[in-house]
Amino acid sequence: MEKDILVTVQTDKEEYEVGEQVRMYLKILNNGPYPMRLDFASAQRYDFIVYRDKEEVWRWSGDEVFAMVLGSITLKPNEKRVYAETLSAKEMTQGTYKLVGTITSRPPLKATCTFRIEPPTRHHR
Amino acid sequence: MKLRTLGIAVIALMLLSAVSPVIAQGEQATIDVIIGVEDGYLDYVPVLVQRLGGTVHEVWIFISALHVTIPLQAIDAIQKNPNIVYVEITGTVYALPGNAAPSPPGKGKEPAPQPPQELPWGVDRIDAELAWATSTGLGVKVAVLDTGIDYSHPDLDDNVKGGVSVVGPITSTDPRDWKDKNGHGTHVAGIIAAENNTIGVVGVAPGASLYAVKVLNNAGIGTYADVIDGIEWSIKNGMQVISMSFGGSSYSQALEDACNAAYNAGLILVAAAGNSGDGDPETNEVLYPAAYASVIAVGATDINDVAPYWSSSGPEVELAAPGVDIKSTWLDGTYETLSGTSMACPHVSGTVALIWAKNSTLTNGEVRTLLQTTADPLGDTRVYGYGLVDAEESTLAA
Repeated sequence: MEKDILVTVQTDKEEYEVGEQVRMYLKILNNGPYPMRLDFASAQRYDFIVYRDKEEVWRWSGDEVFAMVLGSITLKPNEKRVYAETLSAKEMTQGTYKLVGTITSRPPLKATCTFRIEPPTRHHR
Repeated sequence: MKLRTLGIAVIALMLLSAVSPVIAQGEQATIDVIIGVEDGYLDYVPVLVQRLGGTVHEVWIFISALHVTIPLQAIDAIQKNPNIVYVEITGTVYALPGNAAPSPPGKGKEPAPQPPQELPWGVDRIDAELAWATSTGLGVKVAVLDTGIDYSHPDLDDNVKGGVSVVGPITSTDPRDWKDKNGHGTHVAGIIAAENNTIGVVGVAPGASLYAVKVLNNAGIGTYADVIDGIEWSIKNGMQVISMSFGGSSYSQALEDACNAAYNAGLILVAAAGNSGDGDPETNEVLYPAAYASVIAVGATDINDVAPYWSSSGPEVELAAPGVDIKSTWLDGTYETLSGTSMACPHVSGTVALIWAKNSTLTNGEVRTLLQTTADPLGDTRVYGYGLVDAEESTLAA
């Protein structure tokens, strides 16, 4: 059953310059032949967490509150959902970061990817 | 738990070290923060922020704090300033429109057929209906901080007295802006004060006055900054009860200051303990704002007076109330049965309205003590607090 659900996370680029916005996409696809129901403990459906050297440096849900009502979503075969957020606080410094995207269902479904922040290329003038 | 505050410390450190020079010349790397300011410096700090190249979005006099965007390079100067008490990162996030949106409300312009009124099991269990001969919560102002309220619902329309939306940078009292498009706020409002008529359901305090304070977007998600805005509006507009059926996992000094300010102004604050329970009463999962001392944290119980595994436990849980399979008002004149500590919280908010309408001379502290001493103990205090809220007994004792 588990492999019938595909969860992937990616950023819009692999490399960014310092100060750029990082656009993040979390996709969930029902790859199986049956409708799939996912249960949630609140209005939260997903989260994005960024690590640097195993230390958490940013969490999308860190500044959010959620309605405390149980809910569920049902994905039909081949149905997919995409959740997107932008890491807007431009505090990311040079280095390699790990991004964990989580569908916050019970149990949670996770995917990871990495992206790099590079020094800005020299501007003319 | 000081996740955000810690985060900024890490970032500031990274900045101060060798990484800082990589920021391009003239590049405006900025960061969105809440700054807590020492008393008496609220006039001076905005000037400082502007001098550092920042923008002031909001000044919260009631908690002596500012919501600002500042250049990343300025964070060190801000943190070192002796008049600044704390700095918290706020995430300004941009969700894809319609992304996490709930199922769209039915287009039905025709009014939904109304079922005959029933007494929901939760209202019955806390014996609210036995208090109505004494008090219906008449005129007590309850701010429902939520997704808004569908004020045209035939089982709510007489009790919704006003509202505001503080979602995002704009504050609007235009009813179109605070009309509920999710359903959650309408459900919570119905538990507090659905009308005692012939249709649908009936709330704990059917005489109470409801105010929709929209702090959650149409997906049921809100920012800490918007919650602070909602609390500020509630204090300024004479609300007596603040009902908060939401929670977040990060501690925020600014949000705690806002809750304390409301409590010190004489209001009662009630919040959902959270749905992050793991079935082990020994673990702590109470969310914010419920975990603050100035807020009554409410856990959920089912029809057998047993807490579901998901009801958050911890030393902050103060009361328990029905929160499993609760029927209440929904969008477009309909009704829904939902579960969560979101549903437990308004049972207590409604009970406060009953008590205060019976005896308006009680202070918020006295009302809180009354709730605690009349509650029916259910067992582990980390799960149930003082126990199941008792609307009849607490009202009669008021």
